[in-house]
Amino acid sequence: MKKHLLKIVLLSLMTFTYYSCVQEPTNPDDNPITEGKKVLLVLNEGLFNMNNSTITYFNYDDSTAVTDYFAEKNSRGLGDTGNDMKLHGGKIYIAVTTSSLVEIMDAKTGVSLRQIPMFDDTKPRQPRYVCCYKDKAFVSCFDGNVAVIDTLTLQVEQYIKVGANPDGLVAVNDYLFVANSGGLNHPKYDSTVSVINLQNYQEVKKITVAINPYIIVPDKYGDLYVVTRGNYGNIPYQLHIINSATLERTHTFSDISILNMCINDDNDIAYAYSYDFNTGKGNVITFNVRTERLVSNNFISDNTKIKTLYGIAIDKETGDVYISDANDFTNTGFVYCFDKDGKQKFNFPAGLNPSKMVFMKN
Amino acid sequence: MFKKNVLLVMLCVKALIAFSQNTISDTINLSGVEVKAKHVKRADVAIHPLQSMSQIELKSITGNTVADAVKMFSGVVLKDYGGVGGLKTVMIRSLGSQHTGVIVDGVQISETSTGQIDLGKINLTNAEEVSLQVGFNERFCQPARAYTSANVITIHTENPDFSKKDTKISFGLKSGSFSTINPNIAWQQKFSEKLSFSAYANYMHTKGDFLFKLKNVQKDTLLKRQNTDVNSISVNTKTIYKINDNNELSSYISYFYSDRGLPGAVILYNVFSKQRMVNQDITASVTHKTTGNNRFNSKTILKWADNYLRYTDGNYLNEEGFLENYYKQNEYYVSQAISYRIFNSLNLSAAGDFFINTLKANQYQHATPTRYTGLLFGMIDFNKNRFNANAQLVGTFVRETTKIGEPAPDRNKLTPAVSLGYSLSNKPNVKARAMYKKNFRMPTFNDLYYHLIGNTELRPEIADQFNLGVTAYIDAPAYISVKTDFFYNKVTDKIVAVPTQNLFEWSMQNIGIVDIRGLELQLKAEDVKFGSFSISEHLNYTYQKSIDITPESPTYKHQIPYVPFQIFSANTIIGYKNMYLSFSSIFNGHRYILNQNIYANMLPSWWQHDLSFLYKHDFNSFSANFKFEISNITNKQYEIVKCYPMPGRAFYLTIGIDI
Repeated sequence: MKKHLLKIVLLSLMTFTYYSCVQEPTNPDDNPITEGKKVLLVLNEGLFNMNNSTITYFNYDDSTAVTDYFAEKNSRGLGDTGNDMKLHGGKIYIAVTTSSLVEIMDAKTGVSLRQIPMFDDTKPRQPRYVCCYKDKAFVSCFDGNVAVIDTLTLQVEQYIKVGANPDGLVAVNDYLFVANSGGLNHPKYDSTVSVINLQNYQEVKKITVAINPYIIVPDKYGDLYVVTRGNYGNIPYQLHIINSATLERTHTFSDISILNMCINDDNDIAYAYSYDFNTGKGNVITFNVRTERLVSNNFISDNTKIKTLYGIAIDKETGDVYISDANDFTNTGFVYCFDKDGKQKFNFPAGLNPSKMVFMKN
Repeated sequence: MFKKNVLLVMLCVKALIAFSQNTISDTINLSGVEVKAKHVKRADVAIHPLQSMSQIELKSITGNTVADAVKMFSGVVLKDYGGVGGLKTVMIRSLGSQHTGVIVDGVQISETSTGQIDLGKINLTNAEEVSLQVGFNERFCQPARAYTSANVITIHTENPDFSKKDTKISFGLKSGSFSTINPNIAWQQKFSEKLSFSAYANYMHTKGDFLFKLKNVQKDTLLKRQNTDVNSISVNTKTIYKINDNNELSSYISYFYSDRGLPGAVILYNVFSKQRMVNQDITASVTHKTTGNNRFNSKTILKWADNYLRYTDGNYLNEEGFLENYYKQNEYYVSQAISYRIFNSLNLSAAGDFFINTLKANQYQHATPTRYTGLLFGMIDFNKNRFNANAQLVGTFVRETTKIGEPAPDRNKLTPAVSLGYSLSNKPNVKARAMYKKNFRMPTFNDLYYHLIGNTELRPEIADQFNLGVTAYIDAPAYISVKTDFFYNKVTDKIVAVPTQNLFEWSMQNIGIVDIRGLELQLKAEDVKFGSFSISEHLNYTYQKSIDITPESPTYKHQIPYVPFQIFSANTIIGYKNMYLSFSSIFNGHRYILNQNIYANMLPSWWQHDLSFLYKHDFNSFSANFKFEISNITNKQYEIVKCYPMPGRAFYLTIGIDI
């Protein structure tokens, strides 16, 4: 009996020696944030239902990238699925979709100025995109409204009714243009862009483009580039032009098919990428917004390989093009900087699914 | 923390003084394994990893679902989405939950839509034994399907004992934390020497609204889980008709209905969830068994199953402001199994199954698939002197049709399995064992056909299992068994969901190769008596390294998600007269929620300790039992699945009367 007890004790002890073999990792000391004169903030969406949306702080002076800048400055997380981020008047506006809130933080310090919950009673409104114009920030909400936030009081002043599940939006010449995706009514997508008069917040008209409108990008000539996403199946995504003066759709490209873009106003070049929903492959193209002609089918001129094109932005100061790579969506994403000729200048790791970028000079 | 662990182990070890245990009536075919000592556990002589829990163990653990039992087994990681209504599935030796089959009273539960069987739905109140077979199934005369899963959980419900009286009725009522109320009633009747019937009904209501600590970087808040109510009812009946000494006809009918809130992940700053789910499952089966002079056995099974699921979301932002999806699955199943003993040392078994599975849904352009599966199985078992050998082969033939869109291509697979055992010594009984089994799991209907996500080109996911181990037991002066197994599993063509253009649209892909290596240690002591006390102790330890070895993967050699490196469970039962005190502990080491093993993806390790006290008292005409449970004694705040908190400390009281 005693002999067996001894065995049991020995075995148990052995078991517990194993315990101590596998150490639980401790939090590695993040690189401390060093304040830079020029800074790039990257919004990382994170993964749905994992509360891991983050902001990466990239300091140009010493080329350091610190992810989770927001948590560092505010001792709390940003929330679930940060979808859009805009800089306006020294403040940064972030639409956090699944947490259903708008986070407004001080651009210089990163400290939250106000967190606005976006709920219709107990129904999350799911804010999607932000655009700022004069003293207002407009936030498209997936419940079919645009929230009007006063940039001084940081309060929601009112909601403007638009179409179903609005996504991208832009304000030009006292008009607000909102892409109504209707994505959650699939297969009955919406196919319109709502035009709101910003004098009285009334909807002036709905401009029909094609099904599933997504983002709107303005050029300096008053043209609005609207991407429609189709149905991810037999109806492809398309690029359209709306004239912001006549409020008419003037053109649908037959030779340019892209999912996301940004424009360099200095050289009139639009940098855009396509994406194949089946293969996950895409490529970066350029076209001229004045002539509306394709310039190049392959912007990246060196051998830089980007696995999953996920965001594109232009640094207006240098004309450099920044492209984010979501990798395989579940691993650390990267941001690549390219010069005008498509040669990589540098890259840095961001968080999960980096998508939106804001350039700042302090 | 570590100090606390050491203390706990000391406690467990100290508790190992003596004990005894009622041996359960073994209603299972002992499949040619020579049983010399009367109370030798099948698990301790099997030539493949097998673990089981007897009725008294099942009664004395906290909780009363299959999930609560199975999580105590070695090699098991319970994936628990928290709370009573939360989905509970298992990963065994790092293989996904779709690789685990669940068999109740000889009939396999089917789930072709998601492939995941919610073990929290299966109540154990009338169970007699729960066992887990890893890899191999050595039993004779089983349906071919019982040999197709990498792992099999088997549940045997009570076979009524009519030796004293012909009518037995029992009532039970469980109540406790989170407004839980759970009455049940059982009726067992012997109509004649040939015909007996038993029915069991169970109702459960809980609000499930437990408090949890939400950790948000440096700010902790105490919140109440919302939308967690569960109402469920289950009814099971079993009819046995003994045609003659060699022939038996039995029928099982089970009905399950539940309506529950789906609290979903805890989302920072957004506590509102209006998702609900209604399930209604009906299964009916008829089994005919022939046992002929121990030489020829036959088993025929007919089964029909209907599973209905309705999912609603009252916060969905479509035009109606409401989402309603329903799914209806059906299975029609027939099986014939035979076994034949040629010599004492040589046995043959064969089986053929055919089943049809359908799925209907109200989704746009739903494929409405039908799957026809044919299975052929053959087994040869040799058992002489010190040597055991068993070889099996399963042929699987799958054909599919769809109403909309292309069906998945035909799949034909041959999967072999071999197991060897060699007895090294008789006293103590020491045996070496080795096993190999090839498995695959078919892509589920959701994998193949879910709108915009499904991929009909998906190939079956392959899992090769190897096991090498030594088992030893002694039965005097106390029953003590020790098992050590090394395992190696390799998963190829792993079916993984990958997000496509945005994070809301995922697609299924056959990517990934996983290399799984591990060690299991099991120790069980029973029949150790100490005066009028008896003590039973069961310790399990698993170490596993399960790494992604997909070439060019950015997470090459990283541990795969949700697999802890270490698992430990301990269960101590102290019996005194009609009283049983049970103390159990489970430890899961740290693990990662995503492929990338970085700190941001880590979920910390956790311990949970449970305590229960069981007391039975016999009166003249009836007996009463009483059970008090405390689960999560230390009120540990932890998550098994990221953003799905587990309940803290909870108390339950059960009172039962058997007439």
